[in-house]
Amino acid sequence: MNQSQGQQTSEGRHEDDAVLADFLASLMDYTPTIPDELVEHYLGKSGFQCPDVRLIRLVAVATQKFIADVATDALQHCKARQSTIVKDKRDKQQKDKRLTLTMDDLSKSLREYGVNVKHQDYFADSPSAGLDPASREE
Amino acid sequence: MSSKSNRNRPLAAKAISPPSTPLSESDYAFTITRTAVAQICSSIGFTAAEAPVLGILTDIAVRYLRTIAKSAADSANSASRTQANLVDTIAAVDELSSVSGFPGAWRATGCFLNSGAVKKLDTFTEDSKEIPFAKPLPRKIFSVGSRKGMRNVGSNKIEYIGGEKKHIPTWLPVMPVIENHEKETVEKRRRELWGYCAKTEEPEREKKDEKKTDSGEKESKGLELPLKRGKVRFKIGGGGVLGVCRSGGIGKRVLCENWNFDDENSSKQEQL
Repeated sequence: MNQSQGQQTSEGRHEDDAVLADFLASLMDYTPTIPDELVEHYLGKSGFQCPDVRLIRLVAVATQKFIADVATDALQHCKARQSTIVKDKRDKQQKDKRLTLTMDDLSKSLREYGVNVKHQDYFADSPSAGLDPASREE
Repeated sequence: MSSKSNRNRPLAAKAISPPSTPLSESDYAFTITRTAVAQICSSIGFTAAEAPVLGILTDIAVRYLRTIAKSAADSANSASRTQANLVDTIAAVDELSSVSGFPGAWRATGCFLNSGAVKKLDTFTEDSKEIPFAKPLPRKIFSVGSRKGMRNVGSNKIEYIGGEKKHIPTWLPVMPVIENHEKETVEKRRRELWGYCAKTEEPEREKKDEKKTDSGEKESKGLELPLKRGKVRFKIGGGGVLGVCRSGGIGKRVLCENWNFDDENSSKQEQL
């Protein structure tokens, strides 16, 4: 029994190794959105030394995935917010239905990853941010 | 409330105004990262993004990247290595993705090579669309030697990457250039230290060197022995004449004194 279990575990390890080797080999053909030169620059600044391009791309892919995950969550928040708007207002916004990355959505999505981002209360994004809604319409 | 916001608005406007100073290296890198982050956001489905929000996301991306690098470098250094390897990098990725969780994270002593975080990255690369960066970047800009006083790797980086000096890590300072007139400077220093005494010794040394070279040539010639050799005679000792005489067996040489037999015989006769 023990021997068969041991064989199974060793086979599983071989499979894992093969999967990892395939992944690393596929990284040679994959070009991440974050360029290699930029990643090298930041890695060098942090004291990471490695001549292997695959490891640099691994770090680039990890960062890209993290940003993509955060942005996907923010997009879901954005869509959910737009769907909950009252109907009469929605008609107005239908014209310019743009999915814009806003601070509210980003702070909500980043909270899940342990990053607390908050809008400063006095900070004005646009010139009409602090004005009353009535005067804004004018 | 409105008065408060009005009072604060000029400050915010000042903060937003673009800097007039030229972009430094870090600003340049930050701008490129912002473009990459914007590309990622647009690929997901966003049509627009607020500028400060994009800046925050870029800052987080840079921090994430640097944290991975620092973690991997630390684990490499703790294993008394300077270069990080695959295990260090995967451990760093695992550490950072443990916040959101991944399959197999509960195994505290599991092997790093079959980590769930890396498998997730694998599925991400397979599923997501490949979007390369908008423009190819020149590698020279990120060389270490852009600042004054640092090494200028940019000009002869190939030599340091895969050439003769590939064993030298790029962060080391450049070797000083050996100049041709180094001998003159050494002589000057010697004169300063020892005066002109050293100058008189030098010609003698040179002469000796010349002699040595001559003798060396002779020796090289003398290695081949001539076929016919001339006889060599020599005397040993001052008063008593010593010589080599043959007696007895063939080829045996016995050292003996050259007695004067007549004198000895006459003295024996007298005694008798």
